[in-house]
Amino acid sequence: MIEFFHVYKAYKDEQPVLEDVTLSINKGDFVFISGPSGAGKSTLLKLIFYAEKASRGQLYVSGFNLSQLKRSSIPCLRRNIGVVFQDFQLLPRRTVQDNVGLTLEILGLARKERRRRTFEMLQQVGLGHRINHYPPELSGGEQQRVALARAMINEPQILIADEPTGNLDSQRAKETMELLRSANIRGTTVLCATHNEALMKTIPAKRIQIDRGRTKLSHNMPLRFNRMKTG
Amino acid sequence: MIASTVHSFLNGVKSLRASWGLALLTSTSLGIAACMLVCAYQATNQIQATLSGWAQDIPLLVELAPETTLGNRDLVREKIASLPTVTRITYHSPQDLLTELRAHSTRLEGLVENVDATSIPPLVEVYTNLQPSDQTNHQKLKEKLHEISSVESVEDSSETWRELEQLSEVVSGGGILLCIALTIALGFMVSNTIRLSMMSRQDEIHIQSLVGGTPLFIAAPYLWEAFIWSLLGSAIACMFLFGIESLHIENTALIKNYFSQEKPFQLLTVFHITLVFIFCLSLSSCGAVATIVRVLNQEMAQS
Repeated sequence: MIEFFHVYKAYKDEQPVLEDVTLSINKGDFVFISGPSGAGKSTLLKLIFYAEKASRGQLYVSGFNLSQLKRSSIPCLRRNIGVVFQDFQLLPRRTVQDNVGLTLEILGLARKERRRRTFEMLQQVGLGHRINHYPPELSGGEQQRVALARAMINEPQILIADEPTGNLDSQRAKETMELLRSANIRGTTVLCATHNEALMKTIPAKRIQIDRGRTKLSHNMPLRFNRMKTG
Repeated sequence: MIASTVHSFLNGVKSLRASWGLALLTSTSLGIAACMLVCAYQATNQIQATLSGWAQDIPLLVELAPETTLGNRDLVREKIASLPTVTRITYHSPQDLLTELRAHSTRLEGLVENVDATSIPPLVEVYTNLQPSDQTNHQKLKEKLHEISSVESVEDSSETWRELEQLSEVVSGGGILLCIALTIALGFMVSNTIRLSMMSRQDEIHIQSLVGGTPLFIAAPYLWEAFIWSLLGSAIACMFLFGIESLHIENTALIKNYFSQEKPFQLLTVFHITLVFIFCLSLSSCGAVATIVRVLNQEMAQS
């Protein structure tokens, strides 16, 4: 599903953010990506949905070779990936319903169908009563859940969550993790970046530790990390 | 398909509503430019029609010596009429000319009263099948007319016509250049307005791109916005054209002596409205597409 071969990522004249990353994630895996702030967790995730381009190396995601990806193929790749951004990336001038339904709108679903599925999804994340509100009217946790609903609504092959529980209390964090877990049970490959050790223990999952741009194998992983480079 | 088209159209309207002042300014500019284009086109046509009208009716004025006898006059008229390019001639006797002079000089009655018909040279208007632009043959004809005895002078009005034609060519060329400059300036204006509209919704474009929106999906509302501008611009242009046409009709009496009325001065024709719409649509869509491609390329490069 996701394969990295000697991937490097560096910004202009700076120390590489990611160095020689080689890993493989199978379909249906639940993977935590952990590490301290600035370690390169978000960059690793951004490489997967092509928000960043690798400086060197080969990347394969859902059958797309990202090293040779044509510009016209980027939307196709991204439709297979749901992303919960660290800063939510919600549209402030659109209602919760419109924000969540955006993915379906892009897929060309009829308005009625969009409304039905959006309402169901928002019920699932506990925001059925906030359907006509605007993101600035919601709390951080609620915005987080709207972002999660938008990422999950089209049942993507891969779900990426960058610090999805960063703004939530422990109860809401647990509920969010349950939602990710349920998506994973339905067959979605989930990648979740976090530095919350306690949270990682709640779900049996694979784990990629990133430290200063280098990945290393976690302690309890029955993983298939081929040629994993240790830091 | 229809639903998504309607949705992107409504998004375009929303986008338009967000910057309606700018949109109105752009539409008005488009309308004014389209109106100027049609007026320039119509005026050029009108001038050319007028010049063509005159071209059919420019005689060479042949003045005979006043002392030419009546018999000689007939002979000269026959000689002129027999020249190959001459189609017809009109003879004005000194007496005819004096009567005409008296009829048109009512204010100078005293002065004209003492004029003697014998002092006025007889005049022959020579009409030819030559085009006024055909300078060589005109010259040849003039030389032939000069060779006829009793012909004192030959005045060729086609020279004035040629000067007017040259002037109209210069004016037309200037008009075309002005239209091109105006079109380029408007293209930049449309492009910048779309750019501002896109900048104000950059976050939306960024998010749409991140969740898999195709360039066409992202661009659709802005393309609709440009289409609405072109419709508004066309409507404004039609209003201006209607105004100018009404103004012209009111002043027709004033200018009909100077311009040919063979082709009526109509600005609000189906052809002109189509021209206005095509101009507004092509200009706004070209400006919009150029900016959308640039902004989306930047967006792709950033994300």
